[in-house]
Amino acid sequence: MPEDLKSSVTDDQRLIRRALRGDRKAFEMIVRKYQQPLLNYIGRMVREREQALDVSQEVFLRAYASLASYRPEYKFNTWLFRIASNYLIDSWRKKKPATVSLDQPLEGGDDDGCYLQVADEAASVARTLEMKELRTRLEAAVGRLPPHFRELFVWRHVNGLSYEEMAEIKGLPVGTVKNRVFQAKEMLRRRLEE
Amino acid sequence: MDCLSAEKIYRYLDGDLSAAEGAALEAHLAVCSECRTAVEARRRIGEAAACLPAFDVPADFAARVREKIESVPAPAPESARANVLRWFGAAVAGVFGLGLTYVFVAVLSGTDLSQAFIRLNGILWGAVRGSAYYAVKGLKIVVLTVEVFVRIAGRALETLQAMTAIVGPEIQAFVVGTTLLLLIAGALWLRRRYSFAENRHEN
Repeated sequence: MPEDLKSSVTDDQRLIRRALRGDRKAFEMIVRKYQQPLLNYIGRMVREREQALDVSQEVFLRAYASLASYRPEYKFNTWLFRIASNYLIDSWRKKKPATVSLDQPLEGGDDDGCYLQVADEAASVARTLEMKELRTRLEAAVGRLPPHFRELFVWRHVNGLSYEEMAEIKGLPVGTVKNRVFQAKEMLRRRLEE
Repeated sequence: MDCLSAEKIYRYLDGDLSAAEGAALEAHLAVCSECRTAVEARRRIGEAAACLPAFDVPADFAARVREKIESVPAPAPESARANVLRWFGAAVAGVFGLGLTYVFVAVLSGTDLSQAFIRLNGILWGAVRGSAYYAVKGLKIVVLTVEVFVRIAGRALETLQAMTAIVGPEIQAFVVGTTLLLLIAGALWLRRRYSFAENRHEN
């Protein structure tokens, strides 16, 4: 395990132990650490900002309530994503969450440092614009993926989870997860080519 | 080599191919523009996905979650007793289930029900006797290990007494002081390393 990841896992476990002793500030620090990746995932699953915030809050509350059942041999983010995934499945079973127009732009930084290294400046600008347009279309296409494909695609490509972590969260074989991510990407590619 | 399947392209982009497979694929790409285009199209999706914008998290989001959890009791860690009870319960349920299965299978294969229970009783007692035998053996090993440690400690003490008889009080004080310092430094290092200082708040 890389040193920074090891240190992050140790930090998580220290914060969790403190939270279990009643230190709510420690849990707030956990929330600060994981709110962005969780919202990036939930936001793309429910496609509506206010609802995504409500769901994220509920997921953190559920995580807090069941913190005693967290096993330190697992990474905290995989445990949190499993709670979020189960919560979304439950809420979809009860009632399909409201969605907004797919054309509605997502909030967040427009210029987030995703540059491509191209020697020629003009070509670089053209490529950046092309990438920006591709991102906008991709965001809309991701929103149209079936939820079980969308979830895996977002975990893999937005949250940067490994196939093994995703397999652990979903309780599926790694091969199945890989296959579903490939299928999701093929669906996206076809939609982007339409 | 035939043109590349989508799966092979994704495995290539994930770095999931063996060195030989990767080399063969790259050799094919060098001569097949159609496959180069296919690889490039899929690579760009991965690149664009990695750059999708982050959702904007309100500055007070974590504080709001904290406010909510202030009103609920802290999640108590599972006590050791509850853990033992859970394991004990699982073991009892397991034994009970196996026993029932045994009786069920015995009755199905034509054994009288009372005979099946008598046999099950025999099996259970055999298991209890066997476990008790190994538990006593284990206990003996523990007692022997303690005896060996006590003897080693006794010898170490004798050696120390012999040394103090030949070493002056200044050197004795130095050795005791240094040992104490080393022990304190070790304890502090362990405290930092394993974060025993749980009550230290971080911001």
